[in-house]
Amino acid sequence: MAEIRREKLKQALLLGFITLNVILILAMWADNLRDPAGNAGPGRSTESSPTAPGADSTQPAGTAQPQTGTPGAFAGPVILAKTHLDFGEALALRSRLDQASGGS
Amino acid sequence: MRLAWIISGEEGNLPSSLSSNGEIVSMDDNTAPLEMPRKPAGNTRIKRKNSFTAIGFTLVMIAFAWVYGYSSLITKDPIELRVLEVIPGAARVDIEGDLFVGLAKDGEEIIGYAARGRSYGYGGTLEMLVGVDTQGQITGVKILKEYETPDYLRRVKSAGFLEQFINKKAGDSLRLGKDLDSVSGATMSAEGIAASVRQAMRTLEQTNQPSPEETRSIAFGLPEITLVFLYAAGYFGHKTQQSGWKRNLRWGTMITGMVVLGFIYTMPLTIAQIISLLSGFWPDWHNNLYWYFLLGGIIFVTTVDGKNPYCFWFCPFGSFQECLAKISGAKLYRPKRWSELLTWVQRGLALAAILLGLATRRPGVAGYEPFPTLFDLQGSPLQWAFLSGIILASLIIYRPFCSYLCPVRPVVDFMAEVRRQIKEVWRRWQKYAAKS
Repeated sequence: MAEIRREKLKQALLLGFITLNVILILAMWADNLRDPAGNAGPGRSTESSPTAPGADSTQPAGTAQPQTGTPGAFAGPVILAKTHLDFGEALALRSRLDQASGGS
Repeated sequence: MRLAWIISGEEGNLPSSLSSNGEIVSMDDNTAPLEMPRKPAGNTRIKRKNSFTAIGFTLVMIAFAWVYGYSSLITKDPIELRVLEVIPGAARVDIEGDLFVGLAKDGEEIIGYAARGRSYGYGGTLEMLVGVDTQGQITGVKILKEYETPDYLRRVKSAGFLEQFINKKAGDSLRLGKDLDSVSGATMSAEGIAASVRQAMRTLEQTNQPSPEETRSIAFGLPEITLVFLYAAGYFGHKTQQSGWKRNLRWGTMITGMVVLGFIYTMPLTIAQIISLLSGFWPDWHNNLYWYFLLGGIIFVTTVDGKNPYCFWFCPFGSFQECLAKISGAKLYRPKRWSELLTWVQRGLALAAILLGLATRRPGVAGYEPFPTLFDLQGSPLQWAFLSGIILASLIIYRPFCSYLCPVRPVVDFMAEVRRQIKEVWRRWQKYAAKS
């Protein structure tokens, strides 16, 4: 009799252990699905984006002079190389790029 | 020291001391080594029919989850809004192929540029958006797509890893250990992010050529060599009939697996890797040979041999539990009355994890194994609670996680069952063909 009771207690403990762990697993899944940035979903961002503290709209736009010709220096993307732009659009972008780089 | 075991009803090496109904038995260290515990064989015809139904149901569910996850990917990405986040001060965005131009309110002045870069992290593809000002200084970085284990990404975020990119310039190496500090316990995620940012910077610099440092080299080192050795040992260990030799070999592979693949490199097989494989998130093989060896080895040996070469031979966490059992004398406990239900609970957890990972297209979300918590000593309170419970239980029950909760074992069992069924169909077809 005592052995049967002990066996039942062991079974109850095992089932309790597994139930508790299944609950923990479900909680982990819920935690994993929770998005810290509030925009969870397939293939979507889950991180906030750090930005440079000083880089904001107070900086005069287009006044910086991109360096050219120096190895490793930033020449700026050559947007005109994109062939899908129409001619007018390309001219406008080229003009803006020139302004930004200080060239003519 | 006594160990306990449940025997295989079909293909395992059955020690003579085991009970005939395939239920729990105890045996000492001198009996034959372990095999995968399986249900005892019942009525063969009913079993085969049920097996076909279960295999078919599982495959249909997986296919549905895959299609759902894939179709939800095809959504329009409001990328412009994100570009504005990485180019502070920009009010408008022009998209020019791979490049984004951040413009001031008047639409004339260029504030900065942005580009996307893609690489691989721990769970699969990682896509970053990088913004630079007109001097090529990074002004913002943002993760666009990721399939990482959420906990790893939280570590990356809380360690301020993304902030390290700010004010870095074009031409900087942007490498861990050089101008970037790595993140403990999330190295692969951090490396994936850094590689994605480097790629984006190359697009922004208009070089589109990998730097000499970026050229692909094949990563083949201690983890890969160890893995090959362990698979070979596991494969031949299954074959040998000498129980003493087999037992010693098994303890050797277990200790090696626990130390090298567990505590040193933290690279055990996880359900997230299996989901990545099913999802098609296959990393670049040059840098991820280990990933291919690990999954390829399981598939190859299970297909060829019909036996699980991993779980009871060198799974780091399984070995850890077995060491605890060895110390405490824990025995396997599996009450006959609940055996069927417990088997299906474990299979249900594995299937639910796979469906969750496939449907969300984020393999890392589905993982719940306590491996990183134990081997990296890092995890959320929930993960610590989970691990603590399992460690305590391991002192009383033989391998409780492997027996009742691990999602990897049902997957390997499933592969072995599919193989068995295919073999059976082939055998019957041959018999039928010979008769007619």
